[in-house]
Amino acid sequence: MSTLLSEEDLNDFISPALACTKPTVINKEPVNVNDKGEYEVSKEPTELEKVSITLSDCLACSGCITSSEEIMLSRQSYSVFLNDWKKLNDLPADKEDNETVNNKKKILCVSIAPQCRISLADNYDMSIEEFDLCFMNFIKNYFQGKYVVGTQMGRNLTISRTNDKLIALKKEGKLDERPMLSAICPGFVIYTEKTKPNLVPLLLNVKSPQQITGSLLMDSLAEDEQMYHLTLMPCFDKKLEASRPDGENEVHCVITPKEFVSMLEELEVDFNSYRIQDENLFYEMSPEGWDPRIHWSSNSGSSSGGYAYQYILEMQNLNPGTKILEIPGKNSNVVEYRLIDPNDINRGTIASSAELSGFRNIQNMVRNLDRKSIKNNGAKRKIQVLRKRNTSTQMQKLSLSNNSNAINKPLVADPYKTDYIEVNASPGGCINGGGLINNEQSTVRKRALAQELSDKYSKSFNLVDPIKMGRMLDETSKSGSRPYEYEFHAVEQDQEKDLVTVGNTW
Amino acid sequence: MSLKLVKSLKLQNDKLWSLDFAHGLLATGSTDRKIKIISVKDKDHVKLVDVLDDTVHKKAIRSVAWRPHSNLLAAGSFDSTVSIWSKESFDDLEIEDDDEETNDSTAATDERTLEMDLLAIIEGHENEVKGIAWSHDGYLLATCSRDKSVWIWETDETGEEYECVSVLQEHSQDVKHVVWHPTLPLLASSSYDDTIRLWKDYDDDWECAAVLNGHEGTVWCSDFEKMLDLTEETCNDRLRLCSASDDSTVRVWKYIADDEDGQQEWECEAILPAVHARQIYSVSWGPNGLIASTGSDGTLAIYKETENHDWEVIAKRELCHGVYEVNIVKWIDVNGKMLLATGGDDGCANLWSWDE
Repeated sequence: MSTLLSEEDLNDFISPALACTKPTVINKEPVNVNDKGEYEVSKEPTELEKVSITLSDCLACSGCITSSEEIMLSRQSYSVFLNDWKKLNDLPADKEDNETVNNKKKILCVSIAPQCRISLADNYDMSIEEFDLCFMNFIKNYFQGKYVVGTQMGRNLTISRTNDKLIALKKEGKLDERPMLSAICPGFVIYTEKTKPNLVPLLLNVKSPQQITGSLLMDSLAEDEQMYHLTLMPCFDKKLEASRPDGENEVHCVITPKEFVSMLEELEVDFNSYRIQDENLFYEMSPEGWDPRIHWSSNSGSSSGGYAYQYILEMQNLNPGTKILEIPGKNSNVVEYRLIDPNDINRGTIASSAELSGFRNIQNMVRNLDRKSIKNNGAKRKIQVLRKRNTSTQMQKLSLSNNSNAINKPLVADPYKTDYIEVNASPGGCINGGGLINNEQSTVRKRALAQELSDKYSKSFNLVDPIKMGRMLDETSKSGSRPYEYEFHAVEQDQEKDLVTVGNTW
Repeated sequence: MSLKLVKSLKLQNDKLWSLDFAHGLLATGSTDRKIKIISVKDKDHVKLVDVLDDTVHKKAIRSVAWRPHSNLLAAGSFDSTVSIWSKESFDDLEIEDDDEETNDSTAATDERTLEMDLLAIIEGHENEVKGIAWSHDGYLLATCSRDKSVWIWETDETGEEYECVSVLQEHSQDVKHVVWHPTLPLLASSSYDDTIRLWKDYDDDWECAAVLNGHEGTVWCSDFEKMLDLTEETCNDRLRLCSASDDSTVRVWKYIADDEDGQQEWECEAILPAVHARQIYSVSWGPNGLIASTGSDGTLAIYKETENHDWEVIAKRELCHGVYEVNIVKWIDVNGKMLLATGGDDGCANLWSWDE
């Protein structure tokens, strides 16, 4: 996984596989055999077809790219944008060129994820609003960007579509056996496609805000305009998501806050010099019909988008009188939301969802859900509550008050029995993405900064109702007719992985 | 001060990589995939009691470890998985005290009296598992692999279910060995990247508490000093680790203190006198305070600490497994007598006694 863009702490992130995940398929054609089936000795042997590996094959595997090369890659990739931007400004001088695409004016549209705004605002020591204005001003004046948007419109649709699908599945009883898993984290999606193909059917197929935002931006262009969509995202896997064939033309370039800062250093730009007070800029840089009070906002729930929480909120609305319990899991990267009826314990759990992040938790989850990989004899014993990492006060808050048997009995999150798990590869979710700026040296200080950014995230934005907004957008715009779905490709596994590598004999 | 060969057991048809001794039973891991359990009561009462199913793992068994306070055995394999074996109780194990000395245990396959069952297989590592180790209380299992990571797994009393607690990816190369401190929740890992890393539980996750730099080659093995009364508070000045490397040295490292960020400070206290000519594959710090080392040159050496934290060689024996490399050495307590067990590429497990 390409969060390895620094030599720092990689614990709990999905690491790149050591072998190429593309299965080797050798196309053998009989060489030197003529029509009669005889071998002809004198002929030159035909060349074997070269195995080609494209970026779409590699998607988050990066098995053949070492850490240091990846680091170099990352340091170069804002150059991709700079090169593209230079070309954007080259007007077609060739009058003989009749292709309509060349006659379209290329428009630079920039979107930025909320976690990146938090990270960059912190880095430049600005408030969120100061940063947003400064950022828009910079894109407008330095790069002649036409639109600068937040990603909430895209996220509203991701959330409302997610809920639509989950609620339908729940009604059909399809969530009783195993939960559906979110597909908004490309690190996790790609890991699943490449190494756990059995679990691909569990991915809830709704595109992420990044891709939907691209699609919405395209809608707002004029006939003679062609979009170049640059987006700022918290991690490097979003680059790979943008290059998926099922996302053609939605996103052209993804850069991270780390790269943004490097880029400005290379360009010798002082970001602070673009500070501006004029709030009209929010409207000026929004496409027609885009309300900046919506697309610059956020919604309640996790710092990765709040998908698990928004599902439970809607289930609560559909079941009046119910209560949401927030149950901590074995460690701080697992939490369950459980909907119960406080007046009728016998109803049991009406609905539940979970947030789960980090490689160790993903490991346990895939092992649990992919039953084929578990081999043990005899009945599976229920695991006793293992080492509790939570403080006892947190646990006490969860005791149900009406059932005397349940008094003071601490609840433990059971993510594998929920309806839906919001899975994030970065431990702690997107606010701890590998592309965000964290220059602290020691692990303790790093954690402290990550926690600080997470707290800032929950306090810095206006909140909208994403479910309502998403549904409204579907009703009133071209969105309604689009599926906003990925095309997942589960890679068939070779059972025998005979790796020819050095050092595997000791 | 001489090392004497007490017993030589030709157990495997290929390299013997690993051995572990607990409740009178010696377990061995080998390239031939047949894990053997041998009852060792004293030098005259050594008997093969079980040969575990060799179809469970598809490749060499690189590491075996008995779980403390239980009848469980864990085995790590080059096929990237770890198997867990158990027997409800070792009490019904009838080991006849015949005076017959069994030298060639491979012939005794029909005397399987133990019959351990496969309890579980743990998957997760991407490629060869090189080392496994149980924490002192038996609730945590650490595994390390050529995939450069160290994983920590948690289990309950039954030892049937395993949950991953941490995936630690800070080594930059193949991790060869993991070992827990005998009383503290502290793990040491040794790697092809020439370093040893110490890992501690920082409330929500395990993290690297210290990196020991100094060796000029792959670190193959490390072992903590067996100070059994150490607690987190009394660590200072008494927490030590020894390590063995490709650079032909054995080093002793000492913990100094924690810094303000919770990181540990360690220093290299001593480099033991040179004995080995080539790579040193294994080192063991006995409860008797003595360090034993062995390696590619087939030599077994014992070192004793003198004043001023200096060390001297008090015993040395060459060609312990003939011309073959010796992969592992361990101090084992056989009914109160401290013996040394070594395993080599000749497929033999040798037991040594030494007299001071």
